[in-house]
Amino acid sequence: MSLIRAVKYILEAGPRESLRQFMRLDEVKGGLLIGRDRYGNEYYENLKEKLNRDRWVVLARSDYDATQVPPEWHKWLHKLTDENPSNLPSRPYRWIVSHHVENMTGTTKAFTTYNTTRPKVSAWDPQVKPRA
Amino acid sequence: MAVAPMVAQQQLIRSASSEAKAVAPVRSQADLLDTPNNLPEYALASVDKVLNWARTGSLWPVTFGLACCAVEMMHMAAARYDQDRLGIVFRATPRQAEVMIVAGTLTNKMAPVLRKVYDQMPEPRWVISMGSCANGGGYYHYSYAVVRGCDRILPVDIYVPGCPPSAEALLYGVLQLQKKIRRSRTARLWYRRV
Repeated sequence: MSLIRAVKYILEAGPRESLRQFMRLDEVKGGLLIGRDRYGNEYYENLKEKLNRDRWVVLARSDYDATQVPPEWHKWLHKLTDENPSNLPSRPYRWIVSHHVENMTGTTKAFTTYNTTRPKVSAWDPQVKPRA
Repeated sequence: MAVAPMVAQQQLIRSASSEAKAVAPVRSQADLLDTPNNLPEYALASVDKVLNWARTGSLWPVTFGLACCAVEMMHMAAARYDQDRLGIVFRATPRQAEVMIVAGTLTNKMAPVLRKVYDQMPEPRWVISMGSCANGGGYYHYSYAVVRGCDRILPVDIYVPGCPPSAEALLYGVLQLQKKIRRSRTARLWYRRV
């Protein structure tokens, strides 16, 4: 991004919005607001930007993660479709989960499989000998 | 058809649990750990935040490229995914590194070397296991020459699945590790011990 465009976008967005975008995107971008999903993430488009940088998301939460983008907007972001997902029904098929959940790895809500098989490995219990 | 009564039931359960909350709050283990109980813990929580911020901002991995996964690891360093913007710089020596990315098949012959390199790393240190072979032997699981997962040799923090995982996947793994580091409670645990 050229310096002139960066200055232009910062002046357009204002100091507060610029700072927020710096925190989320590491740069300030200007574009058309295409839509908001139910989690508050904002989706923008600016066709004057470089290829593959012309659609982007400003995530709502400060502890952002790529999996916070719901699948219908993921489809739009990655140019699998040009349709605006906010115009589409939120749940076109019953097998689609109604509420998108982000990756819960490392939290108490992390996915664990329900396992009933006997362990194949017998764990070894190490005994620490006192040092001489 | 059957959905509506279930939703109603769930709402009932939810309202019941909110009533129960008024009596005795139900809190997860993570919440309990994160809530300060006294003044030193309250102060040290900020110290932890500063420590975690410093650690997440300068993750220096030691390159342990063993197979084709190493090529994807190099892609993470290259222009498109550009790990430098996250403060990640590959170090050739384990003594100046804090993350080890085990990228590829770990053979029996390489295992003692891997352990030695890990032992040379200073604390605190983390390990990312990259690809099926490092996670659990992968394609070579039944080979007599291959360790079935590098977690038999090292304590692994993050497993990145894939054969090989894309550079994107590895970068996502690194971001997950950053999250894990952000949750660490070094100063508060030190206070508990003292």
